[in-house]
Amino acid sequence: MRNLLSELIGGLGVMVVATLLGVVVNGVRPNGVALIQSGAPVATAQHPASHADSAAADTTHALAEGAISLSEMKRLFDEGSAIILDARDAAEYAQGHIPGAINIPYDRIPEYFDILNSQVPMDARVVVYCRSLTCDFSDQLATELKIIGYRDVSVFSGGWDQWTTAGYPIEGMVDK
Amino acid sequence: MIARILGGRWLNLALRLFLGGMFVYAAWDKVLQPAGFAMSVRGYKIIPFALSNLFALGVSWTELVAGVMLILGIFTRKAAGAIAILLVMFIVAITMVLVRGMTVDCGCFGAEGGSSTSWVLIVRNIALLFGAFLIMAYNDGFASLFPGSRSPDARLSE
Repeated sequence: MRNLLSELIGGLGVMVVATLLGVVVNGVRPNGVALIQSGAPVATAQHPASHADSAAADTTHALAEGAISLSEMKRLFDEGSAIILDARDAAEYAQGHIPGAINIPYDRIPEYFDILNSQVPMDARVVVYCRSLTCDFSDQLATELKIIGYRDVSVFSGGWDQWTTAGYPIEGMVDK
Repeated sequence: MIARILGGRWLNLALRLFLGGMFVYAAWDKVLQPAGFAMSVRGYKIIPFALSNLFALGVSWTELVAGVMLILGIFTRKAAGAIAILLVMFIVAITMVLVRGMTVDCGCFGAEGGSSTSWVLIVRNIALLFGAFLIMAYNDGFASLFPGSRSPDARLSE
């Protein structure tokens, strides 16, 4: 057992040396990342203790910072003054989405850089949504958008559920 | 008998090449695209936000360096130790997101792999961990560039 422990301690040494090497290379390469990430993650999703709470939260919750309400979302939609991003995966998006929304699956952002670059200007008003109040994909997407440099990003926290429950227009394979 | 099979040097060499190759492959995309892998790290919501980039650099470069060390046979058992520590971290992280009922992009092979966290990944990582353990326990410096200190057997008989 003694020798296993010494190999693990040696392994920690390997990790330290490799990390230092990575930090040095990251410092000299053009697309390096900030060693300490500034800012804070967007957090609008509600995580109620039980499912029963979740239904209650739909009507009574106070809007978290960075979140917009259903009525605000509808107003932006009617004015066409915001670019709407759908953070759900491609299959859910194909089933149905808010008309005009662009699909940027929250966990595939690097693969969607081209679409972001060509269709979403950095200074645009951007609204992100996912399934429902308890879904945090939109928070993750909003967080990453801010890190990339988007200035005006908010989350429609009620998401797809609230939008469809209200009977607002949708687009996609589902006819409602 | 079992120890003789598990401790065989050809099995050890095969494990080195397999684990080393797999980790170099896994590291490649992450080392080239650190911002993308940092995104996956933040998705787990375990590491403090401010440290997510540094952590992503540490994991991806450890995978690359330890993988190369395993393949070439440089401080082989210590490289396997580093891989074992990483695997334990991965197992803990994936378990935590599964217990919390989250589904996140695992980030296992960088942005391209695209698989999500699941119990299958935990079973896979436990199997890989056993491989790393066999290298740590039985590697005797066979077919190695610079195996490091004496063989474990020599040390045990001290």
